[in-house]
Amino acid sequence: MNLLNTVQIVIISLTCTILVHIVICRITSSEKFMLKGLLLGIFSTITLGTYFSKLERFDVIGLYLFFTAWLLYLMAFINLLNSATLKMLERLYLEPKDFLYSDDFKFVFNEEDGLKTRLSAMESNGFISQTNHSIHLTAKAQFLLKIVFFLRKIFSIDQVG
Amino acid sequence: MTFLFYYRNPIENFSIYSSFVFFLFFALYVLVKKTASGRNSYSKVNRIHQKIFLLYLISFFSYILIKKEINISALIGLLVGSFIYFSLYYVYFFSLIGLVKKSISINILVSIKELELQKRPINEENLSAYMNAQKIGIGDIRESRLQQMTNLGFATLDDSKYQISPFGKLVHQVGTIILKTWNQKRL
Repeated sequence: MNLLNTVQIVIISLTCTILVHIVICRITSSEKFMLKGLLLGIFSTITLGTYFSKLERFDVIGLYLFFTAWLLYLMAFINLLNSATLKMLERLYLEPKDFLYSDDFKFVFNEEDGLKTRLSAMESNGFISQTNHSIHLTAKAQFLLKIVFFLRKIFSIDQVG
Repeated sequence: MTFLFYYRNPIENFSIYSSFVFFLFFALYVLVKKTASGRNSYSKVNRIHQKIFLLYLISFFSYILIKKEINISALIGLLVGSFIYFSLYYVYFFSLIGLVKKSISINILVSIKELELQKRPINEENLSAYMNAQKIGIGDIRESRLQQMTNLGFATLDDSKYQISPFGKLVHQVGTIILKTWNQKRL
């Protein structure tokens, strides 16, 4: 098998997985988009791996290309769903006069939208708990933060934002 | 069955495995030189990534000239090798930096943790004030994303007036078609 065969198999597999993903997205709600996408990607990678294992040589590069292209697709999609920049662009697009002043964007992305929505999402995902107007980190968030601080140390990140 | 995959053509093998080596070199350089630190480090890291890609291209073309094999197989090898080099960066490396540095949700969690360590009461008001003081508040993020909108060519800024560009209109329309096809709603 040469590289062209690998690329052809990866493109066909990716196209089929995206088509399955469209069907899943259309028949289920918008909730748990990331989880559904990752599970489908892992399932398809295992299926492709099973196919490769039946060939003479196990194509690790083929699996890398497939799984990475799938992650790239998911990342692009999540960005399309969550991006604050695209949300602002949408507001600008819908504006009849075609322009907005800097201050007008405060209505699009403000404390109410930005902070409260995210705190509420974090609570429903089990990262924080809110009791009597007080916010607490859960064990899940503490574990995630250990990884974040470790990565910041490795990359020597001292300034964020 | 062998686990490490070798293709029939040495040029294909070279293009693939050298892309991993060149990426490793890039990653080590960024880690050792601490290029990812600082507020506006993205462009610096991007520039280094592009320069090392140029070295990859030079080594690839030198190899095919030595082997005297300029054919479709070499072109496929170059495309796949380039995809590997760029995907290692944008899908894994850059995403990790973005997550720990720019993610709004991660910065909120870090701020809660820092308030907790300072034994200060943690509520929405305190959290918002703390994040604003750290220049990672919602207002700062809004300003940064507005700047991003103009940098990407989605809009033009004239005297604090943002006007959508034809490219911005196209990006929004394409995004809307995709969201409709997949039956998803922007959050």
